[in-house]
Amino acid sequence: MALPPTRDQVLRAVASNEEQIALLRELGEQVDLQVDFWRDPTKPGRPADLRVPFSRLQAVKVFLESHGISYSVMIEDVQHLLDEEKRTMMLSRRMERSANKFNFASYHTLEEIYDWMDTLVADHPNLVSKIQIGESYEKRPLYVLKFSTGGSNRPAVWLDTGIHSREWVTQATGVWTANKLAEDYGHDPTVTSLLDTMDIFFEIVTNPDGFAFTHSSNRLWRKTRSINAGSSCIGVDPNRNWDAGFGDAGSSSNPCSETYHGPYAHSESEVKSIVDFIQSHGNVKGLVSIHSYSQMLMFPYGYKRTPAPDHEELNELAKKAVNDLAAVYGTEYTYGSIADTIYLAAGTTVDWAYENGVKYSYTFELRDTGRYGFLLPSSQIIPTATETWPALLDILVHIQQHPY
Amino acid sequence: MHRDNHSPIGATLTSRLPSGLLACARSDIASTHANSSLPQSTLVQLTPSGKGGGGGLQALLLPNPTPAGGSCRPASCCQHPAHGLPCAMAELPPAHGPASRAAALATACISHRHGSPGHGWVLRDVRRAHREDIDGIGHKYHLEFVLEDIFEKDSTVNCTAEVLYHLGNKKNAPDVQFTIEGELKNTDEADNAFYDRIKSLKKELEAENIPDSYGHVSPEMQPIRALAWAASGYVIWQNSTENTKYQLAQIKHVKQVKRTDEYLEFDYMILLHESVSQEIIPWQMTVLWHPQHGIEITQNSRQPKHTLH
Repeated sequence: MALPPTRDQVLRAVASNEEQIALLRELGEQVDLQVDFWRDPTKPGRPADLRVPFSRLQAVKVFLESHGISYSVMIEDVQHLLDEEKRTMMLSRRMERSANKFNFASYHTLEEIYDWMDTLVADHPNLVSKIQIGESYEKRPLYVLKFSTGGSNRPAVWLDTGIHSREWVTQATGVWTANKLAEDYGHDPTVTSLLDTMDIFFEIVTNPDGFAFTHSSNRLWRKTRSINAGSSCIGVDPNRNWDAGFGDAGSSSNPCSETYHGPYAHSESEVKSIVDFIQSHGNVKGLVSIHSYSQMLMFPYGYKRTPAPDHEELNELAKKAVNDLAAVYGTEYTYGSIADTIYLAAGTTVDWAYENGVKYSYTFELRDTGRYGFLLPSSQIIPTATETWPALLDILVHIQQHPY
Repeated sequence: MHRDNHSPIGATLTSRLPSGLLACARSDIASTHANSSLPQSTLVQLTPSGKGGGGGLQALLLPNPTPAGGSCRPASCCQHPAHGLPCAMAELPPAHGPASRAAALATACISHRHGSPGHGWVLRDVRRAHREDIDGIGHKYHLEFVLEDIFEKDSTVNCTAEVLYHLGNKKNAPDVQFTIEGELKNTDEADNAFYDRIKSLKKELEAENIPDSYGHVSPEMQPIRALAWAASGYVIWQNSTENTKYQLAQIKHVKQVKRTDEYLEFDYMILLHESVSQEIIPWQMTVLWHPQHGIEITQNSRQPKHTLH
């Protein structure tokens, strides 16, 4: 039974400077005005939403107008809205539409992950959006989740998982992590601070053709699914296809090889799309490319043994991240440059990023060390993602605190 | 009791020996050699000469850690400050590339020697590593590492090993000598239970994709996997070089082969993952096993890649 509308309103106020932010906060503190912030005033340019009781509307509007704080009426009749909301909630109760109800402890298909991305966006419309940066060889969309609280071309960090399709724990960790970022924003001070100053671009299924193939045909498929002219062998190693030491030792010129670098750098659309995106963005300050397995955290170079100019700083940060990761469950990681830690690898993501202005370029190799390898039991997904999280945060915070 | 005419490598050594002195070698001749300059429990391996099989035996000299012995590089002859070993010995970052590959090989060797359906290990950590370049012979790695029980994650065991990769001739498998600290868990019960279970099956066991795509291994298949893990240790040892690191990735297919004697026989098609090339290599191996007589690989061969659909 509907109550008579109270005609409380929700106003959206946008402060244009810090002084106005302070004024809005003062407004909230005036008890007699009974202003209830649905969205707190934080920074100039960002909306603050105020629920104002009908009886106080006049006074609040006068306050805003006299101080030159622009506002609009966002919700003319709150009660009506609340009634509506109750109705739709009852209707959708059976449907697990919430992004955080997804089963993070199991492996999913491409379709399930793509569907989940849409629910994440729907659940966090003011934080997460989905953009398409290109198409795979087999014409699947390449989706990137953008985490942003506004601003204009803020410094950004690029994250990717699943570039090698058989490394299933990485896509699964990507889903968990994206959810974690969205959930923690506004609640965890570190994440809130990060996303208030930087944007995150997260490509969870970086090699969708390969991923689909691991489900349909060959669980241990690594590469893309592009056809190689003159060969019956399919696919290019997307982590040897980047234009950094392209074709050097540590990659193969044989199309049948798992480390085939491709006919030329950026031949793979999965790679080119990221290159184009990062270059046109122009303000990407960090990149983390996530692989499995081996339990390592590495940074450039892979294509040569020469230490990178920022080797010391990158090494120190890796050390900290690895320690914080181990603190969660005792999982031990090794760290260092790619060339030192495993072997020479030419044409890698992180080397390209580093040589194209992205100083903080890292690659993870998640669990385990060979007992299950690529076939990591699903029971280890959440522990893996959980322990990786503080390491990731260390890198993000360092980037935030060391602008360049 | 019928035995394949293949002379089993080290079969006599896989029966219930106390932990300690074992090796993976091309000959099953081994003896302890009292040498005061070596740590107490080290086995000096006598190996056949490098040209493949017959002929005389040639003692493999281990470096003498005292200043008087060992070989020096012409340019500089030095004492390494940390451990007093000759300067042809270089300390390696233990967790990195070459050391981890050598340790993985040592682990494979230990798995082959001591593994069974009830028992297996995976490499957890490398504590220290040194590489010694022995002129005219090859590279020898001295390792201290920790193994983890594949059935009980918190159960670990400390090991040392010396892994010698021979120069040039790719046909020679590396020599591995290892020591295991302490007593190994007795797995007779688990082994016998598996043996009895398989012996009592009406139909020969057959299975595929272990673990499955989701990493799951059913309890009934755990011993089958552990047996493959141990047997693949042999294949890995035989095919390893300084630049390879093999792991058993998956059992694609396993089929029990009926036998009239007391042995169990399984025909495995496994997938090995080689970490440097990132290749997935199908490999066939025929495995004989008996709780008291250990593991024997009677046949094994690399399979063409297109075996993987």
